[in-house]
Amino acid sequence: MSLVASAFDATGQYYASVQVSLDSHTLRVQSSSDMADNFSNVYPFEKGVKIRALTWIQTPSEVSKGVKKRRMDASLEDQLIALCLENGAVHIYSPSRNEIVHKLATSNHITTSDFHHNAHSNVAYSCDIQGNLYEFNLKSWQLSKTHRPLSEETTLTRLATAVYNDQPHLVLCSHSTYLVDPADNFAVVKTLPGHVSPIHTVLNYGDDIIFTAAQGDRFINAISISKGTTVGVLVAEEPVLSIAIADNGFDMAMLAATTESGAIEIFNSPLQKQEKTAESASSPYKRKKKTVNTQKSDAKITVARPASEVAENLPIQGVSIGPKHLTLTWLEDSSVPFFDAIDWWVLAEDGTKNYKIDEDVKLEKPKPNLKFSQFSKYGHDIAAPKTYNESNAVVSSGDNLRDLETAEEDDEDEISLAERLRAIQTNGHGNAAEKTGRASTGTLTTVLSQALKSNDHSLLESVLNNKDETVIRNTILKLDSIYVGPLLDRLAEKIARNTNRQTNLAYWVKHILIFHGGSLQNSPSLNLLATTMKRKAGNLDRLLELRGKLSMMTDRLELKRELVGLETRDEDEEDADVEYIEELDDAGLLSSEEEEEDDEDVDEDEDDAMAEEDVSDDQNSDLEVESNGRKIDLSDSEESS
Amino acid sequence: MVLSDWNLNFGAGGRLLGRAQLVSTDSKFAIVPFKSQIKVYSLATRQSVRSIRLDFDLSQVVDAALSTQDPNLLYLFTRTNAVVVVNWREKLASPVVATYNLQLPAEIVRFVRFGASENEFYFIIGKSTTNNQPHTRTLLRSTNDSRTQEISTLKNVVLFAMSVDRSTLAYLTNKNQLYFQCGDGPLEMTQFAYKTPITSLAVSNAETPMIALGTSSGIIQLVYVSDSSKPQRLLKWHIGQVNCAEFSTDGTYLLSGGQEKVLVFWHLESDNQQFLPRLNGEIVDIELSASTEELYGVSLLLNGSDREFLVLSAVDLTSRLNVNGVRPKFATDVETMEKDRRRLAKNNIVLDEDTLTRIKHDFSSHFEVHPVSNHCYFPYGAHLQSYDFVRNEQISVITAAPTIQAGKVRSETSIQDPEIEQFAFSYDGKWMCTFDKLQPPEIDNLLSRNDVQYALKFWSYVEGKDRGGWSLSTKIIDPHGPGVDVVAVAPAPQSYNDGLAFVTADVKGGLRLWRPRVPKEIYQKMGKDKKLQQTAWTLRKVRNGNERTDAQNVSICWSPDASVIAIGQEVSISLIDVNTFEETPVQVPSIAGSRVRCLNIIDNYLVILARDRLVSFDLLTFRTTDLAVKVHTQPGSRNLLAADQNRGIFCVCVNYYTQTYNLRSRIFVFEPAKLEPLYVSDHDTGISSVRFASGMSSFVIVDTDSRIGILGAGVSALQEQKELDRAYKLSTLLSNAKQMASIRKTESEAENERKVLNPQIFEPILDNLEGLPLEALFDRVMKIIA
Repeated sequence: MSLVASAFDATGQYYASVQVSLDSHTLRVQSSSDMADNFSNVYPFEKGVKIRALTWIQTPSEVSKGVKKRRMDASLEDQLIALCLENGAVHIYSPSRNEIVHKLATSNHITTSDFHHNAHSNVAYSCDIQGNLYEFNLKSWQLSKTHRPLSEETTLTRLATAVYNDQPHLVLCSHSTYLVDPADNFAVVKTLPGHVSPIHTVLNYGDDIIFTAAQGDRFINAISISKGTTVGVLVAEEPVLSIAIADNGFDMAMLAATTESGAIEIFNSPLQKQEKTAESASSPYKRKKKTVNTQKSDAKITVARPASEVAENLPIQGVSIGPKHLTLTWLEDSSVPFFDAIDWWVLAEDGTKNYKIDEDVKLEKPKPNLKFSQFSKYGHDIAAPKTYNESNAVVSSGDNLRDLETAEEDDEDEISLAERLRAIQTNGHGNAAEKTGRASTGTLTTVLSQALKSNDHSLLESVLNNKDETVIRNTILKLDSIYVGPLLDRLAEKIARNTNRQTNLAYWVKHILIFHGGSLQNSPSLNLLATTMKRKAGNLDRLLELRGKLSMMTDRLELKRELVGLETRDEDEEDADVEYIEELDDAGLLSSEEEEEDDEDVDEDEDDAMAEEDVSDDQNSDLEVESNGRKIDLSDSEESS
Repeated sequence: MVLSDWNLNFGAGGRLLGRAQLVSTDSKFAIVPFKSQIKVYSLATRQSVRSIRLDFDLSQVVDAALSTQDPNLLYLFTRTNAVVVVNWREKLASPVVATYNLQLPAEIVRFVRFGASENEFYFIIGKSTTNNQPHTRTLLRSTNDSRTQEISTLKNVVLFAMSVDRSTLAYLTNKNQLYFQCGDGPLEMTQFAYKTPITSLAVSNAETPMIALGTSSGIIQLVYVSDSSKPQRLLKWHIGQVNCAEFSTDGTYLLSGGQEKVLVFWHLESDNQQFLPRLNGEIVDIELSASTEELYGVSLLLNGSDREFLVLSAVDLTSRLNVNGVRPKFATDVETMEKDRRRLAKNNIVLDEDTLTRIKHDFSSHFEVHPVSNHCYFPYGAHLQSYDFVRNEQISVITAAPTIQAGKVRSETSIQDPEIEQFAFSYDGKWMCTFDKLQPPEIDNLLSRNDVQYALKFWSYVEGKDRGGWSLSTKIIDPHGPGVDVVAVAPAPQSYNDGLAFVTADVKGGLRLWRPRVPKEIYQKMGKDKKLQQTAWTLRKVRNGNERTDAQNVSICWSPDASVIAIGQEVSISLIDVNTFEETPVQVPSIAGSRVRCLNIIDNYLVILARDRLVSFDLLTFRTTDLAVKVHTQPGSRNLLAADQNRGIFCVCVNYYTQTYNLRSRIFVFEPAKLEPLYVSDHDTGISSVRFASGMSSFVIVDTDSRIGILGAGVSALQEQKELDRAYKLSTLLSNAKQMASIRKTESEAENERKVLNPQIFEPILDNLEGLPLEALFDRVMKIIA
């Protein structure tokens, strides 16, 4: 395993892992949900710093002392990571700032094995492998006390908190589990059942139950603190490495354990089943002593490469369970954590909630392309929005009805296939009959039906190149209506692809509609043609409008020319006036400036008047467009004919 | 379900204040005030490292400054003439270190500088204004016990500016007279040639005083104050108006920005220019600070009134940080709310039970919660903002339609960008469907001016840390035919084709069902080839509406078993069989009575939110249920109802006016067949939208202040609550026990003070032994034993 230590945070949103890179340890914190979130911080440690374990802790919030502060957001800024070092120190790292914010030192330089902090108190504990327990004040981030709760020298591996007799107690784990009272100078209150090997995970579930898992041990014990006994044992197929548990609030719970071979074993409702069996076991026929019940895993999750790729072992490194999803992680290229989330319960159609993972799941993950590429490539700044890119997209139109399904097809695909087969058979028969009946009549019809039957594009093209309308007419007349649909589709395609050939192909369409209109009426194959034609025809209105406008423009130009002819006479008269004034001016009777201004004003007024006329023309012309259009149409047709 | 299990919490989101942003003196953090909190960001990780919640309305804050003596202290200056000193760096029980309520003759407009000590402040006071109206501006010195001294007063000031080191000031009056003031000195009038209206003002530091005047025509006039012999210069590049300008600390550069979305650097000596184009929005403010020369703070106006704060590195001009609030697109501008209030108050309208919920304007907005990642997606214009309300941070912004990245000036402003009108996520969250609309510009009188372009887009989520994101897989042009608007999109439930289907409804009442096309076998055989075949979504089922009338009120929903789609058109509701895509033989009676805003099928109940009622109808027994409530709704009220299919409940938010005509809201959670709500809660602002987050089993609510609230009916909340309660209990118990222990400890102190000695604790003594004198070794031993 190339990870020194790893852990999900309480919400399963972030994953912290320590790896050996070169000769130093490196901490990497990243977001487990891949969705558009690129959060990933890497913090390299100094050379000598060796990490033993890491735990996520919530920042102790002083504000909440008096008032219960109810914040359910576990934002990164409130989370810290405690790193237990082999030299006995504990470093507190802030993922949001990417730096070590506190260094807690212990007086003994013995490897710290766990750090435990209870979200709302200001006290944290750490333990070392020689059985020392340290108490830290998180207000001052200082060591406040050192204890040695267990008499003999025992390696303490894990810490937890639990409530016993309404008093907070610490749970110390070595091979066994001890309940100690921090108020009573860490005296051992109770010794709980243990494992053969050192315990590596302890989880609280509810107020009374703790789950423990130990190194190289296949058994997960559920221990009731109040009873002081094991209330259930979950048996995995292989030694357990880590466990996670969650419930969804609907009385459903799931425990997941990662095992040595890299699989996740799922125990659905780990406690309820035991209660049931416990009830049956406590029947008077059985001896009371043997009420410890075992439960085997319900399902197994593994990650593997798809069959098409080279087989590779992808052991699952960690698991976190939320109220809805189970998040798991594995390493790609032995170093890059990848994540996947699966629902662990579903809502059935009848409204009941069921466990989703009740049989073995094999997640197939193709090898990802781990080549380095960054968002900031080509000068794309992180702060800028992701640009729009449709180069890889399929672009289609809303009237593409090719994939349209009918209700029957939807039910079963096989039937439609049978139908298709039947259709082909009837085609064959019809063709045979045709051959015997009308083989000698129109050779072009034969060629056309052959081309359509064999889907021969070049042959079809040679037929469609025919431009003689009477030939087209006769060919279509003799064509079997079976081929009409396919022919129309081909034509539609060709028209859609090549607008220039429209006129030629339009004859074909026209004659099909004339002779086979009846049989086409109920045919769905018209869809494509209809949409193509609609789109073509859609431009007609606009073209007519444009034509109308153009003709109006030409008309108006002509009119203007005529008017100009008239105006030139008027202007001559006006010119005479001006000359007259100029003469006055020469005589020095009028000041020139005023005059010029007046002139300009007059001109402007005239312009305005003209503009107004134009506007009115426009308004009128809109009404006239159609008639104009028609007129020109007529004239055009006359010209052309 | 017990009422107490439900927990409403408005913690996340909020709108950026847009002023009083700072970069810390060590250039490591940025302090950004929001309306509800102050957030501190680390520039190294771009992460928020602290959020400071203060018990006063931060929208009152007009300015902020960092203490020069203790860099951990932040001074906030409010409109109410209060000075609040906040420790922004350390986590303290109360972040407020001190509060001074000053007695000043007028409101604080800006903070200028500290006096001889930090107990003395220089302010510009006067009447606050938003749109550069002329007001009297007074420079005033005040101690923290309100001993004030007026330094200068100038009437009818339109604009004023401070230099980066805050030693010099410049004022512009409505008569276009320019005044310059250095330190406490007198006002000096400076001559300049007035040409076009001045829109921004900047003044440089005292050594070489210069004043830059940005004009509405885009020309920047540069005036040398001390040296009247030097002619004024004109800096020409901008086309639109210059929104802001600022001199660099040494006066060699002038930075300016405007509508072009380009930050312009003018090197004043060489007349060279440098540009940083294509910022996210119009530049409205540039902030430089004397202590952090290598960072520029730029405020950008994104759309309407939303701001973005961008910190740029002066060295490579790349972004160091961008801070965004939540940006829901409200159907009506939020500012209208205040106008409504004033108008109602003026007319003195009496509100009774009936008119209480008759809101004048529609303040709803549309957003969706991603079913897996729980990120909220807010559409605005052609963009989609994804926001993580748990982390309270913007995740990314996706451009969902082609846009012009450059800023628009003059006549270009009439060119519209495409706008996302509808969007939805598939059940598994791997697909997204967006519908956008592009109105052609009315610039030229083109024949195509009325051709609105519609596009339906299907996006798939591509995994991958670096290249991951939404990638467009299929674009359908005019999905319901040319010129037909799509007004509703609904994703299929999991029971239909594994949730991979979307149904769209248009204004004519037509329905279309879209599904991805399974790649043909030929492509599947090509599996070895790494080129992935793009999945095409194609039209599978069509139901044509009537081609004549347009109905804007169309809503659709799937039944949970995916056999029926309910479609509401104006006042009628019909049920469509998904298989045949035809109306079912049974007809729903007309129970809506008014226009249908929103439909939802929960279990076998059809929940209808209509214009004036909320009713539910049992589809199996064909009977109305007890749930029938009278309520006035707006067209956008479809956003105010969300259903939780798992629990079979739904959440409705109702806005109402108080007696003082303020907009308030009430949140209800109903079961579909019961009149008695499961949960009722009040909220102190209007609510804009509510959606159900299936990943968290809770309702997500966005209010008109852009805050995001979580109605934690969900287990996550329950569990979290349980954990918190337990932790709280433990902590109190622990502290009690500690006290007990300390009492006992004093009793038997001698016993407890013994220290455990073992060989390990002596190990550190032998570290680094080289060259260590014997005395030092002895000291080490003593240190451990003692």
